[in-house]
Amino acid sequence: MSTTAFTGAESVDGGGQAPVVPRSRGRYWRAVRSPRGAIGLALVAFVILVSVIGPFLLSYGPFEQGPNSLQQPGSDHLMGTDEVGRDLLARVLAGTRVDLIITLVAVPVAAVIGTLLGLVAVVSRVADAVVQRMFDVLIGVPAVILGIGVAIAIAPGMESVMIAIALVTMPIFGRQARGALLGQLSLDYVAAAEVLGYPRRRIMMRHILPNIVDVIFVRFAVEMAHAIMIEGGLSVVGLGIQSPQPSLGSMIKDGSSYLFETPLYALAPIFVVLLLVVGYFMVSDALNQAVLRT
Amino acid sequence: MTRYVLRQVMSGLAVLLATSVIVFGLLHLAPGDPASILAGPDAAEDTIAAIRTEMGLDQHPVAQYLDWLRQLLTGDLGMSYTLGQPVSELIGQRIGSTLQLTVTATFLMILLGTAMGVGLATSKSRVIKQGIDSMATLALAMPPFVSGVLLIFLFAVVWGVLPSGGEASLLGEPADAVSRLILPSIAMALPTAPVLGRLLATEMRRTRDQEFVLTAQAKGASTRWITWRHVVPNSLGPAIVELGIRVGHLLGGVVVAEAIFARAGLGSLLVEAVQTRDYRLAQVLLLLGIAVMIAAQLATEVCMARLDPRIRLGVSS
Amino acid sequence: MTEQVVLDVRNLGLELSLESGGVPVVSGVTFSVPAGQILGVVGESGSGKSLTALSIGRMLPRAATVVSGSIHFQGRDMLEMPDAEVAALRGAELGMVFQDPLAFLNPLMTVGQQIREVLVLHGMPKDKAEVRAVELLELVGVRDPEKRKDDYPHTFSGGMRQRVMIAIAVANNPALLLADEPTSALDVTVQEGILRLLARLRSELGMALVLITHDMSLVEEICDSVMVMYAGRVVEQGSVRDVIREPRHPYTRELMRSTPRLDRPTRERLPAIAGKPPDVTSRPDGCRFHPRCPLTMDRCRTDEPALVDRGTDTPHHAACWAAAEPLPASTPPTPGSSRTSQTGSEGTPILDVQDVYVSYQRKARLWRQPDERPVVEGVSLRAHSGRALGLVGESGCGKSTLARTIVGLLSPSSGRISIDGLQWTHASREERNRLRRTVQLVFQDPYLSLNPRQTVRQILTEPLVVHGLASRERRQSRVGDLISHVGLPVSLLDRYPYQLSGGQRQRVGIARALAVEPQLIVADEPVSALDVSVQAQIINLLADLRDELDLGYVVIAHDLSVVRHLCDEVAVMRAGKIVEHGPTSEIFSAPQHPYTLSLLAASPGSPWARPEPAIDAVDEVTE
Repeated sequence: MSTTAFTGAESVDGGGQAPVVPRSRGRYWRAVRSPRGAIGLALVAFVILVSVIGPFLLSYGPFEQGPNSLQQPGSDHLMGTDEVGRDLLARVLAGTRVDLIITLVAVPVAAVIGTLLGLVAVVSRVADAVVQRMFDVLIGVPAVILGIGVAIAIAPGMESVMIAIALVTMPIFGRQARGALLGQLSLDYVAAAEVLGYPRRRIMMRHILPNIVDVIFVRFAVEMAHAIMIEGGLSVVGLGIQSPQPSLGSMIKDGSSYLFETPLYALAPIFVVLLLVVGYFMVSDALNQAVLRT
Repeated sequence: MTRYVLRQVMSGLAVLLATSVIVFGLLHLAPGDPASILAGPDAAEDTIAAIRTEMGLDQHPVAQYLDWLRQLLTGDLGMSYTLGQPVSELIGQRIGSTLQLTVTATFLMILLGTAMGVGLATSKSRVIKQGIDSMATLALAMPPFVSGVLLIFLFAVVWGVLPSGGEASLLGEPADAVSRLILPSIAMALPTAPVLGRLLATEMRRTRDQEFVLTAQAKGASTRWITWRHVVPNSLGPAIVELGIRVGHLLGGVVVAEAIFARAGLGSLLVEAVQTRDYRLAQVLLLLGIAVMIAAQLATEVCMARLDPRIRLGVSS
Repeated sequence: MTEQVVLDVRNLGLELSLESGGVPVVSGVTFSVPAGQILGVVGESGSGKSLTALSIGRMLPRAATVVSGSIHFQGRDMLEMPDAEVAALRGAELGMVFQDPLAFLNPLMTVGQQIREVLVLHGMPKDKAEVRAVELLELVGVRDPEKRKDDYPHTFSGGMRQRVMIAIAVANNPALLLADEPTSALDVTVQEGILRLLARLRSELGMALVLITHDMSLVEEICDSVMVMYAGRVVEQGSVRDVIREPRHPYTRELMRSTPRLDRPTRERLPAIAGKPPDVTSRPDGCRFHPRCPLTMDRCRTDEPALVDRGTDTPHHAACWAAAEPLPASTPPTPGSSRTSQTGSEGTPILDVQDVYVSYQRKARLWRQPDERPVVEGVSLRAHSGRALGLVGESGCGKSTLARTIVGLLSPSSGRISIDGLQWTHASREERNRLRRTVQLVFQDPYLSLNPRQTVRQILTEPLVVHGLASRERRQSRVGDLISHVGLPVSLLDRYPYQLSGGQRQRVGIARALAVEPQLIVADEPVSALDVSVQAQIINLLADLRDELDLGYVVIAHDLSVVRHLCDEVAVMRAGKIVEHGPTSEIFSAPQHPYTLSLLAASPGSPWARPEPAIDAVDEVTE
């Protein structure tokens, strides 16, 4: 709190040995332009584009049953059909859209709520302790178990999966936000701002919040990947998205029963999962490099 | 030390108690009459009525909870209405399978993680490091349901060298049992091992740059002596903490792995219970899972305290 | 030099491999250390002194390599020796002590284990090592060694940890002890104890000692000979007597002159060296000191001077074109010291601190009693405009807490602080604003006190905007004024803090404080994070600003000598209380309190005798 922190800084200063990273708005842009960031973003964008545009080019809908079940890929059904003769490609695309919708709703909500709960740390010590304890428990419980708990309380389906994702990712955002907040508060420049008589709101909004937002943004990409995995796990177990609604996870579940007959049934959605997860990971890596390294 | 452990145990019990309230409450969050839910979808009217009186559902929820808790504490885990068997008996039948899988997966996870970490931290070849790192990234991107299906596809469908699932008695047909354990335990360990490995590697690199390593060098110690006496002990902390969390998370992995590899363990029992709305059973299983998870974390706290005097002696820094 | 030579280094050259390729960091270093002698190696950051020391034990970091020269230790060529033999020498014949004793001790091993380790590594049986470890702890002055050997490093105070490090280093009776800044992480009074211990061990164990330091006064105190390094080169070497009395290199002389000392007149302007030590990658051609040298000639810019013996009877080398003759021992006072006229004036009072108590509180929890730890206990002070009050004490004495309380970051638990007639505790919103503008804080670590996301321009503009101090059009010219006021070029305005040197950052911090036109500045260790030669610049800047703007100062320092040059009055603080308070000249000439005396005795250039037992007692207290 007072003078204990200076032993490290006391070694004499050489000047300018801090890594050279411009601290400006261009940092996000630089992340996007780095090879990792560009490839990652391209992967995610590719999946989104194909899943949105694809259905307009296909002659079958995802729920349309045909006469031939478990058909091999051919000119009629590009990827073949499932056990009740539905077009697999159409279902993979529809399942991808379901995953995208679920994660794009649940993760941002979790990010906002988690961040706010993390920021409670400055408001009240008691509330902070309670929130932290809650986060501890939520982080300790495996995502699938948490999802099953939610599925008991409300029937399994899109809502239960979204709630499960939000419950799993929220404490992660919360801890990140809290850590960033406390980290910034301990720095002297915040004390300097206070001494200079800057209003508290200005200090919070102009000086501290941008740092927290950075941390949350970088984390966001990872948690999107995480969310895809949670949906997959719950649906594979049978307590996520319920048939006939397709999702990446539920298609992997159904397809894994026919691995010997039509391997593409399970492998195609797995491929999409990998594209998305690897894409998000790469984006997060690039952001981490460009935004958080001072 | 004992005081420290005692405090950790107390706080673990507190968390368990809190979660038991939540687990119990889940049932009351669900729409509809708890008695008819408990009885299952096809239960007759008088069964429901019997449950209602037996469970005292006409009582205040708090009284119900306390009653339930009392039963659990006295070892009475209740009855599964859909399966018509005592819950304890069901758990007894299924626990072996889950135990085998989790223990194997934990062992594998530690083995892979340590190998990866030490390899990353000590290898001098850039190619090897890059190789390990790429593999780690790929493994991280594969949750058990992805790695599981891919493993079945490769080893059972394409090459046909290992069975695609199921299980066998470890005592009756050990060879078969082991061959059926391999794929699911790999599937579970694969996405968690790189987390441990990377953590260990980062920590070892960080420790190696710390000043006391220079002191050890100045004492005339050899590189190997320094690595094993100074670097490794000082690097284990974060990996152990993570291990505790990951062992807890393996319980989630086991549910998925049992579903994909068609194994009849506690995980699939839990899924069945939820699907057939056998909530009495599900509640106990959930609570059991959380208890195991808390125990794992507790074990790591104790390990950490044994390892680091600063924690043991309660230094806040 | 008839004694046996323990260490002989000839023409040593070191290179650092950076991303841009290999860069020479040290070149042409030659010296030898006879048995039982102490050599001081002096230099600022980037001088290459620490790398030189590490190269002796072949312990250079991976990025650095020896590219030329030879190192002979006890007559054996260290550079040609197999690794295993070097390892056998380390910790046995060659002991080492480093700067920060906590970081250099393994946190997971008891100090006894760590001392035993070095004994066992060199072949002592375990049971014998056990006994010897206790003896060693006793030898270095750790009390109750039998009990303390089973404690972990974090339970020791800084000085005691350094004693443990020394015990490890001398465990096997080395012929040579290398000590790299052994005292610079410690409090002044503790430093003194460590120095005395090293000197004592030298004579008791008959070992030679190489002391690496940035502090000329340490050299003066215990060394026999000295080698001054600047930007990777030796600029001067010789016996301590010769070099101190007749420095031949301008850098040596300037370094000595710019170090605040007790044996100089108070309130004298410090002769500062302009600029800062060069980075490894951008060292100037010719004599490396020429851009900062007062005696630069044309030749200095192009040709590198060699070390030439200037001595009369004892060898005394200097590498300078201008140093054929001894430099004038004292140059006339630097122009611009226009202060003498001011000393008499009293100034108007702006700060009145009366019987202030501050404490940190820990709330009660389930298994913890509520706990109130008093940090400041009943302090009263006054500060006046145009005058500076020095507040001196060692770490943990409560001086920083008091500083933060004065500027309103913390609230006193009782007592009264009034600034220009206003009090934080009873201030209306408008009065608080006025208070904020009246008093400002300058921080110890200038890097942490600047928002890394803002440019210097943004940092300086923000206070103007918040307090509405300049119209939109006038803002930029005001920012320009501010930055030139602290002696920085306007071209730095669009840089980020990490692009500035330590001294530049501190100047920006001062400019920011000045932006609100304060009357009182509280400076919390404003120079302790800076290079020695830069420290003097900042002290002078603060002094100039005080005189120009009629500012009042409260200057917090752990070191009496810094305060002496800046302050009219000094208050000495210990364990939350002010133990002595008075005009600077009185405090320095006739200290009343024994603690002040021990602080004074430990300061460079001190005429005071060292009260022997008091210092060890202090070390225990800070624990």
